[in-house]
Amino acid sequence: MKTEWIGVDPRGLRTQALECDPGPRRTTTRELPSPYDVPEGLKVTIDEDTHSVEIQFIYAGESEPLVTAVSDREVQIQIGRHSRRIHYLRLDGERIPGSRPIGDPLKALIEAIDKLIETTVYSSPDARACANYVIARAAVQENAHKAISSATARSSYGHRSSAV
Amino acid sequence: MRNNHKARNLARGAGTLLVTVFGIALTWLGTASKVDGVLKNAATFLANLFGTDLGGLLFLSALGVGLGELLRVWAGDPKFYQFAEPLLDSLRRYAFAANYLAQDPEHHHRATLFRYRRFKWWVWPWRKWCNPWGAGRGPFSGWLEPVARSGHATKKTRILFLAPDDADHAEGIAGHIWRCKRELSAIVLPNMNSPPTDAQIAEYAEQSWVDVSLIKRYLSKQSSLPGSMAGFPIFKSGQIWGVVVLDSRRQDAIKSPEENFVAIKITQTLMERTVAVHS
Repeated sequence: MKTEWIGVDPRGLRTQALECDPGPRRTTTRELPSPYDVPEGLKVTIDEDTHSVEIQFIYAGESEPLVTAVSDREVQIQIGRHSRRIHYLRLDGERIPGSRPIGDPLKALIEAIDKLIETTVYSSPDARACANYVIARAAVQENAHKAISSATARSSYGHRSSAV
Repeated sequence: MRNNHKARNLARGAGTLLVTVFGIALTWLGTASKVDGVLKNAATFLANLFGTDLGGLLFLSALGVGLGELLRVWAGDPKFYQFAEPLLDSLRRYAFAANYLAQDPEHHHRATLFRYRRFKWWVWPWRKWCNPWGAGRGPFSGWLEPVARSGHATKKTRILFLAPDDADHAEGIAGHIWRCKRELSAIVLPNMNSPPTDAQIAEYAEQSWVDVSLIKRYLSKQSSLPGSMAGFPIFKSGQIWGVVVLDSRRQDAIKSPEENFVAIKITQTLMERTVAVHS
């Protein structure tokens, strides 16, 4: 099992979320995610035996109870019960009979976050949560891809064909 | 703002004394009422001295303990203010332009901590002549009350902002931040130094999410109004606990969110810890 701690640029990540606001906005003010909602870093854990990837988002402040927001055959996402911040992304790489092969774990994780954003925007609009998910997506895409790519290149991921 | 240290200390001391004295009395009387003999006779004698019976004295003792506890709850944890106010003072040093901090009085640039309270049993001044809490509102409407402020002055304030369940009617910058749970960059407000017109007052009220009557009340008391305001939320275990509002007499004193990122992050982290332990 390989674990890697990755630092992120919180200021840069926050600017990515400024467009994610479904509500009206005044021209004279700017609402943006507070530093509380921007992760400080990522902890990427890769199990090359089970082909699982887990990404933990590190935030400043106290811990909080978590709930599962997304749980399908491949990906599980845990968010804060009250804050709705993404805390954990888990990709189960073991093949389940009948499922499609997972060619690109990073792509699967990004797709899961996109699905969560879509669900949030349309079912329970929450600009704060939506902004956090956009930030998390950017953090994973910009920072975690190296760790995931280098680890999965050594495993059997590289031998599977991309199904998507 | 509950910032009267002497009154709080007095209340806390009195409350502790009441709880101690009546707590001991309650224990003693409770034991005495069950045991026949000298103890019971002494308790009955004491009750007669106060013009009541043993049951009545037990009740009065319980009342004393309750009153003492209420005083202690009202006084709050002194450590909360010991941590919160220096934190706001530090935030103030970093959140405003240094040149203005150096030349202006301290109270021209402030950081205020508002706490969300579901219940507010009394409001003064009344918001409406017939209803202290305002039209269609009551003590359980939800309120944002200032509990700590940077500096040594302008701490005696009765300002109270509505933070109701129908969040569209939340009042003030504090109410807006509470509603959105996000950071608000500096709002530049109209200059109100010279006698403002009705249009300027209306614009100020709209920009700051308050009623025109509140602005007029401040102007009638010749109080100075902020030239710019900003703020961010304070959380406790993921739930919004309150709001910190930065306000300045100048329109360009509050630094940008990018410049204030680290200061706000540290304040949010330490304030969350403070409220988790001492509130």
